[in-house]
Amino acid sequence: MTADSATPSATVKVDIWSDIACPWCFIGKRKFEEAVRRFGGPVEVEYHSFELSPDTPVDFEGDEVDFLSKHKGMPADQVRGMLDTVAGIASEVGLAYDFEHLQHTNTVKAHELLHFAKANGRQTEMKERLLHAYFEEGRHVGRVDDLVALAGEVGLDEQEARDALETGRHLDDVRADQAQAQAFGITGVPFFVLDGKYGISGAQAPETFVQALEQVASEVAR
Amino acid sequence: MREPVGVEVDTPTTTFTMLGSPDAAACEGDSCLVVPPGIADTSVDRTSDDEPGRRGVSR
Repeated sequence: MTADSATPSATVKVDIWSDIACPWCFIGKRKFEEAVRRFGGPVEVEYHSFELSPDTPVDFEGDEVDFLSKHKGMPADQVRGMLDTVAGIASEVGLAYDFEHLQHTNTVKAHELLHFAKANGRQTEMKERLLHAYFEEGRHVGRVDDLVALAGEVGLDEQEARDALETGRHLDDVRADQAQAQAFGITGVPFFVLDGKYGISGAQAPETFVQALEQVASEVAR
Repeated sequence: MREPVGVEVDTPTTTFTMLGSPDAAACEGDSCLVVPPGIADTSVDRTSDDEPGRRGVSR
């Protein structure tokens, strides 16, 4: 939409595939949110599950440098340098990544919680809370007790959340998201799907998202 | 990504029209460790117009 156009009014549906343990997903989320502010029109967002490392144990002993050094066979100094780079980029969008205290874990239960939150109208809040907890607070996001506490912090019923997690109520929903991602050919996250037909991969600049939102909104309005 | 087990879902295979830069940072597989040569050293002098390539660390 050009500057002299009317404010867009058609709702743009955006499906976002992402993981919790994904630094570019949080950075991309901030850039997308900035784009939505600039866009000004209604945008409906739905998050979908994507596990980057499903084999990660729930409880990993060691810090970020340990994990990456062992997992990737990289020198610790090189890993530290890369973490510093990512943290620097995150800070540019207002995020305070704390890799020193980050706790590695398997994220499938966090994804189940996101589906529970979606079923209860709190998915957006839950997504933000999980990313903030993982990257900025050093909180564990793989264990049921920790996830239940986070669920409570966004206004979800803790006992209901516990029941959902302990029974795997939403595991099939997680797997369905993953199957959909595979069918779509999504290999990396974050991945944004606009109006079911446009794909945007990665933590793009806000202006890129704005242009895409304006394009889709104009098409939806026709 | 793990193969779905025991889940029957509607999984349309839409081909998307891709928008944006193909080099935007993203995590693939179990990491996003790929750092293109010359990218990692540029963060200090980056401008708001710079968009990182595929680089960084996920886990």
